[in-house]
Amino acid sequence: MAIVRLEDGAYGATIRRDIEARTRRRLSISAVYTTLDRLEEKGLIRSWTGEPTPERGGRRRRHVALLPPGRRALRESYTAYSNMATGLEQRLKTL
Amino acid sequence: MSLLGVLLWLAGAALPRREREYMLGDLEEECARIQDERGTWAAAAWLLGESARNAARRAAQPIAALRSRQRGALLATDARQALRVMRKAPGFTAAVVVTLALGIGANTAIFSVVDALLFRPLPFPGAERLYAVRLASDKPDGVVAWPYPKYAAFAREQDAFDATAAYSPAVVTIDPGGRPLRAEAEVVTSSYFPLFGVHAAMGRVFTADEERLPARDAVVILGDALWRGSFDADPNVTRRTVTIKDRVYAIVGVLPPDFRGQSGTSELWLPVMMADHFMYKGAASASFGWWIRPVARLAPSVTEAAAVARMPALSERVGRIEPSRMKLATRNGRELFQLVPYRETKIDPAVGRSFMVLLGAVGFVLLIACANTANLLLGRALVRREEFAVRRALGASRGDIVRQVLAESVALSLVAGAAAIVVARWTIAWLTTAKPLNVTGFWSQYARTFDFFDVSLDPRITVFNFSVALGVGLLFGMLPARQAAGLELDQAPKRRAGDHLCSLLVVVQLAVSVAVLASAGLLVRSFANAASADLGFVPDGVVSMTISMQQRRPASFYRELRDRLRALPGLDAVALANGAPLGGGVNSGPIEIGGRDSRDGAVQAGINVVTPSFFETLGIRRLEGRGFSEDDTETAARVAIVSRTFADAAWPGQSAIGKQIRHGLRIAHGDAKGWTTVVGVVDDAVYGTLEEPRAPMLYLSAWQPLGTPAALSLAPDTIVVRPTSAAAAFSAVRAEVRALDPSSPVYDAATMADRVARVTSRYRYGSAMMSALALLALLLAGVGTYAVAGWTTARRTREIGIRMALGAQRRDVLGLVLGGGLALAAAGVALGLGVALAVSRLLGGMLFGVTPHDPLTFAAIAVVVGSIAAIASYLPARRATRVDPVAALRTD
Repeated sequence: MAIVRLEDGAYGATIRRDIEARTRRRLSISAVYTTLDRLEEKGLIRSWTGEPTPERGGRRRRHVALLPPGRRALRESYTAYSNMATGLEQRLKTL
Repeated sequence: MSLLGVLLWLAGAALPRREREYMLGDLEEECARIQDERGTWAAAAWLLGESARNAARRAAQPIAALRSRQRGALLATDARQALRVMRKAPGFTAAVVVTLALGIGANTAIFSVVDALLFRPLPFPGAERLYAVRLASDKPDGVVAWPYPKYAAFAREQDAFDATAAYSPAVVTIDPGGRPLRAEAEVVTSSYFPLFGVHAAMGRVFTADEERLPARDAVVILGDALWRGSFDADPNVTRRTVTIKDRVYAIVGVLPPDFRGQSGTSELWLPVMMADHFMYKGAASASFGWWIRPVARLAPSVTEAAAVARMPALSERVGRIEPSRMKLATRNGRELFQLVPYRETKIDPAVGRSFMVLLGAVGFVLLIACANTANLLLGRALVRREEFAVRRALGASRGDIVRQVLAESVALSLVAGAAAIVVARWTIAWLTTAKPLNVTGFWSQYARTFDFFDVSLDPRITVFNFSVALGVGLLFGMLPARQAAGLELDQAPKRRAGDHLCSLLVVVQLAVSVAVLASAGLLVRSFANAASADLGFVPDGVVSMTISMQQRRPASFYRELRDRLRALPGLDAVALANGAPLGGGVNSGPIEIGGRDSRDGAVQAGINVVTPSFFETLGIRRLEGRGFSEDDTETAARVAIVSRTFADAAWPGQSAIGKQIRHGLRIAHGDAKGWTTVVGVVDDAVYGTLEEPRAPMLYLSAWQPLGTPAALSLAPDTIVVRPTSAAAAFSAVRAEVRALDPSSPVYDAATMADRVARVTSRYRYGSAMMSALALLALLLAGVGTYAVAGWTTARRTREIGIRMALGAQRRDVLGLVLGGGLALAAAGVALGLGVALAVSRLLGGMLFGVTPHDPLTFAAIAVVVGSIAAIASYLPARRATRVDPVAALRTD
């Protein structure tokens, strides 16, 4: 979802920040990359190394983007989740 | 450098190179943000924590690797499972392994031989650039042998080759001291050894100086076998000598054991200049002798096309220096050098063709083996459908089943591949030892080629072998695997696409076996024809051998020899002749017929000079008149006996007795113009090969010799005897000849039965190989048909049960099941006959007394294969009729 939100700006640091900010959960960069590696292995996302950027000491970024299977998987799991949650919004909040 | 800088550098150093760039970038970026928000220490703490987690992640990586290694464990499980399945079904396993092993093994062996024969380079340096240089003539092969001076001019003038040499085969009698022997020799230029990359194992090879003056340097080089056999492997042999034609030759070197000259059988090498001594005066110096064969190696900078383009100019240049005084050695009256790739001169195209046919046949058999294996695997998968269904029900995925079936097929084919190597080794050993004997015609080239090439199973072919096995396993494992994977427990056995595939495979198998069998049938008939061919004489119990006469001897010498042999115990009959049947041919010339034009009316005939008992000893039938008698001597009237073909050619429809002929050969008494009277006619005997048409033959009495004393080429130096024991006869006759003439060795001693075996060996070889293949093909096809018919019937048990319950008679059921099998058989046989008709034409050169489209053979084969197929489908059909309807309905 972070990748969807970040679109072109999706890479290790931004993804971590997005997740940390929204879930209020501490997350390490390496954990992000471990997950990304797995997703890539499953063919759900692809990643590539970009051009050197001046703002970070001229280092390259590893950009990531969703692949069609990734989109499908995300859509399916979101649909499933939201279908399951339909009608329970109030009760889930009070749990 | 700041604290954060140091930490970042350390963190970066700890990262694997692959991840360093982008990870470090992210770390730097985050560090800068945290430093801005919460200060340097917070950033440093975060960075340390981050690095620790990173290290932990990498430490965990082996666990991930372990997870992927589970896949390896799965493979091991599959392999174990496959082995267990193989053990549990030994019959099935044996069938597949034997089928594939025989198919692949035979294929590998024949492929090795064909590879060695047709594709492997000759064992000489730069072999692919070696060319035989011939003189173009009006015949496609050109003139092979040149006069030496012409070769020398060619070697001097040419500018396309970096090396040239010339050689000629020769047979010489050498005397290493007391015991003369005949040796196959090669007369060579000094450049011969460097050209073929041969170095002396001991001593030296010939020098250029020894190629300067005719008959000056009497030197000789021994082959390894001769050195060991006749010189007891004497390490000081280069200090010894041999005598050739009364002249002492110094032994200067010994060649390594793997080199046996261009013929593959040479054991002695002589310098070209000495031909003036041991051949005839002028052999090496005059331009009238045509005997030496040039070979040249193309210079690296010159292409074949460029060399060919240079030949006309070169031919003209050489022709001006050394003109060809022989019209036959020109094409359209012009001299032209012709380049023939050297390996082509080693391999007879007919041999190449017959081996391609054999390779095709083996390929066919491999096809049958594959089809059979596929059928067995398909059938087995169908039998095991329940097992697979249970596995599926218990949670095995489609992938698991496919993997398992594949593992089984691969394991099977690997075992079969290993067995195939054993089969291939045996087959090669058999092919090389059972090779046709060295006889005239193309098989001699073939046999020598084998000596030349040394066939063995090489790694490439072994790899090829395994790939075939694996390929078959994978390909035909895939089909049943896919089928099996699709099975569900509740699926009722239905007719599936696999059945059609199996039927098709059966048709293909039958067709292929018909094609191979038809070829084999033709070859077997050829062999039978050759073996039972009328030779015109009775070979049983006859032994012959030839004396290598070193000087002319008068008739009295041969008479004494004959009398001494007659006195030997254990010899029932003794005769002398200039040539014996199956001895490789005799002299021939035009024979003038009395009362006819001397030129146009002459009969070209072979000439044999024989003692009176010759015809009786060999059992050659007398058709008319009388044989020679002891009284037909120099003082009596000149008489001759002719063969049936001669009589038919000279005096068709008349008796030959009393007719006059004139052979034009100088005789001891009277002049060559004198007429000779025909006193008898005998049956035609085979002198050369079975294939050549019977030539007219003129027999003259040995006691009325040609020339005084008889010319060596017409001397009755071949001994024909009927001994009680062949082995005893060989040594007794040898001893007697040595006692009479110690300088003349006896050679070519063999029983007539051996000689018959030699002339028929090509047919025996061809038919034996093809028959073995054909039987294999038939067996495989029969088993394949039986298997398919068997399990198709088994699966129709229920249907048959219902039919019988509804009142079908056994006959109906039999017809139903048998009809299906016979339809397949008919299709297979028809297809096979078509293929066989197309293929058998290629066998032309290997057939004897039978046409490639022999209807009898084809009909017989069709009947045999048809019957086998019928039996193969009858057995399960009969079983089907015994089905108890009630039991049948209960199945499945």
